[in-house]
Amino acid sequence: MLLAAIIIVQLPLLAIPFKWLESYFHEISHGLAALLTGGEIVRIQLFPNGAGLCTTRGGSVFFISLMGYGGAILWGCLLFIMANRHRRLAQGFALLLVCLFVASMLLWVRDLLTLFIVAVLLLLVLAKLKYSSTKYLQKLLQMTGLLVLLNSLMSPLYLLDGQAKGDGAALASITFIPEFVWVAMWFALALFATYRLSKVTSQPG
Amino acid sequence: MKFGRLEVMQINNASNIASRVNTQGNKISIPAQEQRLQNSAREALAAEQNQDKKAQAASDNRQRLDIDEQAINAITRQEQGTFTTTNAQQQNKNQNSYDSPSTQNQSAVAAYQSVDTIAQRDNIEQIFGVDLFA
Repeated sequence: MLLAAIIIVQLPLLAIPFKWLESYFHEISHGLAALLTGGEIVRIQLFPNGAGLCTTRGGSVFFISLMGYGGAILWGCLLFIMANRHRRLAQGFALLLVCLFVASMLLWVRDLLTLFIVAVLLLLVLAKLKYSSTKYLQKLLQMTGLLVLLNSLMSPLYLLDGQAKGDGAALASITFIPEFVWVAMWFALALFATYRLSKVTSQPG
Repeated sequence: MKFGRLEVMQINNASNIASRVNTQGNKISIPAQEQRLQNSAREALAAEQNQDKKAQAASDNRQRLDIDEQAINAITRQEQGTFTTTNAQQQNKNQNSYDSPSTQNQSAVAAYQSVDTIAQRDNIEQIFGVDLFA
């Protein structure tokens, strides 16, 4: 399954929705971190190239910055583990995603492009729920989790562009720990999670 | 820019050919040049034998130069024709590629635009009192 996920990530058209999904999980994690630390989400923006922007007011800047890449990794793991554990859990988690997409569209999306991207993600999950038997739904969600993880593995590396912008630079300015340390930490976390979950997929039964 | 460079190259090539024919005619095989060599030998003999024949030889020499110029012009025109065709083909190719930018370029433009948005984050944060996370 991991090999299939690696191939899908390289495909030019098929990989795009999964890139958007990773970007959505990244931005919604910023937003949820803001909500959890007493702030609010002002706006979520997604771009076709996989970039995103989350505007918040209040909350812990450290926690919000940390949870972008960290949150995407957690969502990928959660998606895989829930789908792997039980059919009902897979269905429940898919419904939770549908609710999250709808809430995002109603509350935090302010532009047509982001609305379109989130709508595509919503339709994909709805299609999985409607047209897949619960057995295949589990497999599809596991694959989606792995794809989110693979994208989470690569995306922190884009921060190493020498521009000192983004979550790594924000954390570096707060903690005085260099940006590349944060990038290395996210990369290592994603690599570890991918490795552990690929072990689960290779086990029989 | 690209076209300008090609035009310069074309001029250089034409002048190179002209100089080659004038100074080292042996590099390009033209019947007129063989004739020129024979004429030169004849001229040398004529100069020794008769002073009057020198004028005739000079006249031959002018005629010979006229023939050379014609040959050079013919070669230059031929070369220019080749370069003009190449230029036109290059222009067509560039025009076609300009009309249809590659997907890599399109994604690069999109990435650039998103980076530009991120670059304005500090101003937006100060104006609206919000935090932006990319």
